Amino acid sequence: MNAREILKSKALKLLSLLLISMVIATASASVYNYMYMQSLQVSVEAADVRFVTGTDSTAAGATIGTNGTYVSFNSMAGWPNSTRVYQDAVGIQNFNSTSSYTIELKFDQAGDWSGDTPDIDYIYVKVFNATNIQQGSTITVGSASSTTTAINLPASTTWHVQWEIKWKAGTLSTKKVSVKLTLIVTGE
Amino acid sequence: MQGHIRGRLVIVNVFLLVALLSPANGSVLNVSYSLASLISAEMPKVILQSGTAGTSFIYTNSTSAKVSVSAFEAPTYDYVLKINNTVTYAWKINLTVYSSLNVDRVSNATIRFHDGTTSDQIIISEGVITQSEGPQYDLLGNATRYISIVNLYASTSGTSYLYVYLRILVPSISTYSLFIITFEIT
Repeated sequence: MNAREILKSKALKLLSLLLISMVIATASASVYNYMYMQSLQVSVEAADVRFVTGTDSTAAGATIGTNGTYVSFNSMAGWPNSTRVYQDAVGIQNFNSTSSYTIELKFDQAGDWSGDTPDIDYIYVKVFNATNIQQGSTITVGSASSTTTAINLPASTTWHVQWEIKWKAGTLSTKKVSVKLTLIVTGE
Repeated sequence: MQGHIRGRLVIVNVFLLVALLSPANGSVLNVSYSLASLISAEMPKVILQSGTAGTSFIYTNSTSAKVSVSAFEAPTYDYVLKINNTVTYAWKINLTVYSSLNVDRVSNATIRFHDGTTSDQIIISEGVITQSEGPQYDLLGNATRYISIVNLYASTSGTSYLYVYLRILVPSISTYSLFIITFEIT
């Protein structure tokens, strides 16, 4: 065997090794198992539990969003060193005539309020039934995971949400805060 | 060998299936949001001012006060505080006792609003608070109402306290502000 043949033989061996390694690499990187999940006819339906206006919604500047799943308050206020109470800022109504639902209103995390928060003495949010009996616990705004706890809203029932706001003494009238609460409805 | 690989694939598939199905085994949640924006501080539209009888102290912002009177000096204190409406629209006001201390020594006392007409708000009789909440009383636009204490007697010496809310209600709805007034009776 001359030198040329030896070189040719080695080149072939190298080429075959290269091809084999490519096959191995490709095969090891491309073992797929396809699984499919198909959802047919994802439909839109009206929420059974919705925000509705209450006696004090206008005073609180409440705007209820389309479908009743969102509400914003744009004119809540308070005087320093006194407590402002919006007894019926908004209602939570179960429109289903047969099924009850578990609901939970909560102040989720510290980032859910902003602005001049050091000037706030307290903001409490409470849920009451039609006979003014408090349902669940009091939410302390600013305290992460402060919640009403899970409470059962019976069929065809409306409860009202009360806000209590107290600014510290000496707070200037330029001060403002924004607060976000989350309503979780289970089982709809 | 092939059976071994197939077995591993089955394990991986089962794991993936469990992972995918796990959330579905939890609750069906529907989340909506309640957003309160721009809760603002504003200048008080109703304020407390000192009276001409007894001793009164008005706290910062004129939204709370302490009144001191003596049951052994005089039976009538008219007036111990003024309620001043600084805006043109009206409110409804009333007093509610939310706490008290050592009241049983007070034989009689009546705390009332007046401005021409009178409205008895809190009544103590024979050491017992027989009326802890008064009826709503009109506070007209730019008007002043007065708080007086009448028929004040005590059976023994000591100090009694009444901790009272002055409720300032927006007419026709249930939005209100609460001022704290402390009555100290010696």
